[in-house]
Amino acid sequence: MRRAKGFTLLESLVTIAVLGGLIAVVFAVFRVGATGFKVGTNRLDLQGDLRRLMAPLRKDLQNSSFQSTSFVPISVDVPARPPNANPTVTVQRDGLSLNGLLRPQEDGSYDNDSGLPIWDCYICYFATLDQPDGKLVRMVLKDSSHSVLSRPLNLGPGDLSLSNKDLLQNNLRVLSDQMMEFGVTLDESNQLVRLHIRLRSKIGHQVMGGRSLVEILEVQTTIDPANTNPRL
Amino acid sequence: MKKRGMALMLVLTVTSVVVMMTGAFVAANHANFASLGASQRQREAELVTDSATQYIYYRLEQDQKFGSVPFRGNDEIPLQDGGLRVYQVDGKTEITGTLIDEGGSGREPSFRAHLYNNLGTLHSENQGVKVPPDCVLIRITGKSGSFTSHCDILYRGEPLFDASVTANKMVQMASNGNINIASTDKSRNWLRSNESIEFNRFAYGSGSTKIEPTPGGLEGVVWAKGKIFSGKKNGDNDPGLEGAALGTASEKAGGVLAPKSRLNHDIYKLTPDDLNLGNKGTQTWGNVAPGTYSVDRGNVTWFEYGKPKSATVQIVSYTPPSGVTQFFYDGSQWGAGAILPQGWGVASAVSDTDGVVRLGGTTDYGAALTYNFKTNTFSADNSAIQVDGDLRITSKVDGVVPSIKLKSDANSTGVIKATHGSISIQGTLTGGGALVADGDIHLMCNPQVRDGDGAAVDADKNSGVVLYGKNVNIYGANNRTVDFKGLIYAEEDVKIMGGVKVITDKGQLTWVATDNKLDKLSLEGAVVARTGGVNITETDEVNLTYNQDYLNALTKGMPDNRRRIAHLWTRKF
Repeated sequence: MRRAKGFTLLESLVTIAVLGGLIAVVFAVFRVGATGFKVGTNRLDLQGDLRRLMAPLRKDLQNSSFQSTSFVPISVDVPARPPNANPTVTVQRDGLSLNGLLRPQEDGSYDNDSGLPIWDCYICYFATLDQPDGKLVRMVLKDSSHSVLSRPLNLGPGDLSLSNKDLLQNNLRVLSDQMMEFGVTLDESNQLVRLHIRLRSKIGHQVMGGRSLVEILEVQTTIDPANTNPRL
Repeated sequence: MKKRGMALMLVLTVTSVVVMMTGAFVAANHANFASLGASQRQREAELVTDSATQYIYYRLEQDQKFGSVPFRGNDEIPLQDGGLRVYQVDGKTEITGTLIDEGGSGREPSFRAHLYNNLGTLHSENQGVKVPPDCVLIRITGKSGSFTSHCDILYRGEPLFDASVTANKMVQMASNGNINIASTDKSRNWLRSNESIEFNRFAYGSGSTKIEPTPGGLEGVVWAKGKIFSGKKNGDNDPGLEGAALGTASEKAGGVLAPKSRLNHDIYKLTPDDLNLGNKGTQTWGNVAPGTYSVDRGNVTWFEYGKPKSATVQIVSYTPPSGVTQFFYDGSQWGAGAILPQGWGVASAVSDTDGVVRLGGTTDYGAALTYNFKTNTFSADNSAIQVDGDLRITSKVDGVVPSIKLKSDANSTGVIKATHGSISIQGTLTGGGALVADGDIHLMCNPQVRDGDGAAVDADKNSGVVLYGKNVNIYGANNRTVDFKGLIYAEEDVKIMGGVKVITDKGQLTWVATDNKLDKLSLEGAVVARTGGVNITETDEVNLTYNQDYLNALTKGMPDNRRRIAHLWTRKF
């Protein structure tokens, strides 16, 4: 008997089933990979933001004096798992200000007698109250006293605004728009500034397969304002 | 053929999927690694900059002239240990360095630092760059991979002692009326204790304590590693000034009160060799016998035209630690042949006709302790005197107080140095120079003089006075003011007390408490109690003024170009 050419129905069904299974597995793997990729991208994005905001923040603080630091504590409720509005979690969106120099490389910025910096501006950092996550803003404000004595700015919640009237030469930068929390603590005994920063990924607000991909990068750091004078 | 085609398609599909997945994995990880690598390199650049900062700070403390002139040769600067390799740059005041913990791969973090060193000079410029006098500017660039970190630092040279009062233990000033802390230094008006400090009750409205700003406009600071009290400490549980009370007190004082300071202040151990005294080219040293030299009065008789006559004359007596007292009288007023002091015996001596008697030391009034009857002055004039034992200069005559003159000029410095003993002086100390003792120094000021010339301890601004001893005590006695300019250095305690009367009897000194407060105490220069405390009591007005000019004139600074340096500012960019 001559064997018939082609596939039997059973063979075809088995093949389709095997191929279907294979494709399903491949897609599942892809899905995991894509999710992982997204998570990885989110993390990279958060790390990039952290680097971008920590570089000026660390330098401004290190170049400043502890005596000039002041902060406004502000608490705000934000969604714990966006995009859902509930439940909420309370976080700090504080404002921080410290003395700075507009032209630190110029000799005129230093006192002839004592050699100390003549502070001529305030540098202010604050996180906006946007929901679910705010922006971290760095702005330079005028300091009309121009003195070797570093004095804190009388900072109030009203000063933490993009339209602050003391803003110098439009010197305003948004360092991150993923700020979930920006908490400031002043360690008076050791003359140190402690920061509690939480960044939350925007992309993570999208939900994949019913699962929120929110990524949070949390950092607690202590910075020594190196130009503190006198050291106590 | 069709089967093969299907199989091929299947293989290609699977292969392409695997390749895509692998590519995605590699891409994701590459970005991750790149991000991590960037963070690491950035941090390394900052850390190598910090390493350079620490290294240069260490070098400058060891030798303040490091990098003040261009280096010769590109030699390695040897280090005892550590993972840093440092080279000097030929013809420049520049060093380079690498961290060598990556096995010499050529990608090690490295730095380049340029020094503009004005330490120990009064220049205000260095290689075209503005650098304040006695400061050093360091410009460092750290590098790791393609990341760089820039940092400029300014350090300032520090004096041996940087505060009007520096004590390792408690500073007690509670029982004084008004306290004023000031400075002639544009950058410093400081007072330090490694324990606690007691001020008067100024915070509660009784008396005042003022901390003046420096002439440069900086706030004065009072540091205590322990507590700061306004009034007497009330037991070990007394918290002192803290919280809002501390803020109010600081505001009232006009400066910064800093209790519970975290700063560890290491007080330099000064030795007599560190003093800028007795080492001028033509200066000689003379030896004087230890004991008590006293101004006294004696009843003398003599015969005139056959008739006995008597008179009470001023004399000077010398009582050795053991043995017979020796007397000196004024030969210019009473001729040697005409006077017969009763009971003075063979030990008596007469001065020359100029009224000056030599009490010891070398001949010709060089390097000798002399007493001048006309001016009532003991003098270490143009000389440096050593005493092996105790030296006491006192008055046994009520109302007659000698002055002790230390005279310094271009060729010599007036010094009285007691080895293995103490120096006690009851009288007025004037002029510039030093009292240096292995033991204690007791100074009791002149009850006759209220202020101005001749008031207690005084000195001219060019030389000042050093009081150097194990303990240094100044007693106000019945005097109204104490005015001291110079350096008071005690290895242990410094006590400056009003309300104390000193009684001298047969060379023995005893102290009795009285109700007489000192009107005014003015100390200009620096007061140091290296291992002990400072106690200033029973004075209506206390003026403590830090003046570095005296320290510069009276001390040589640290040996071998060593120097304390302090951070003034950092700018990172």
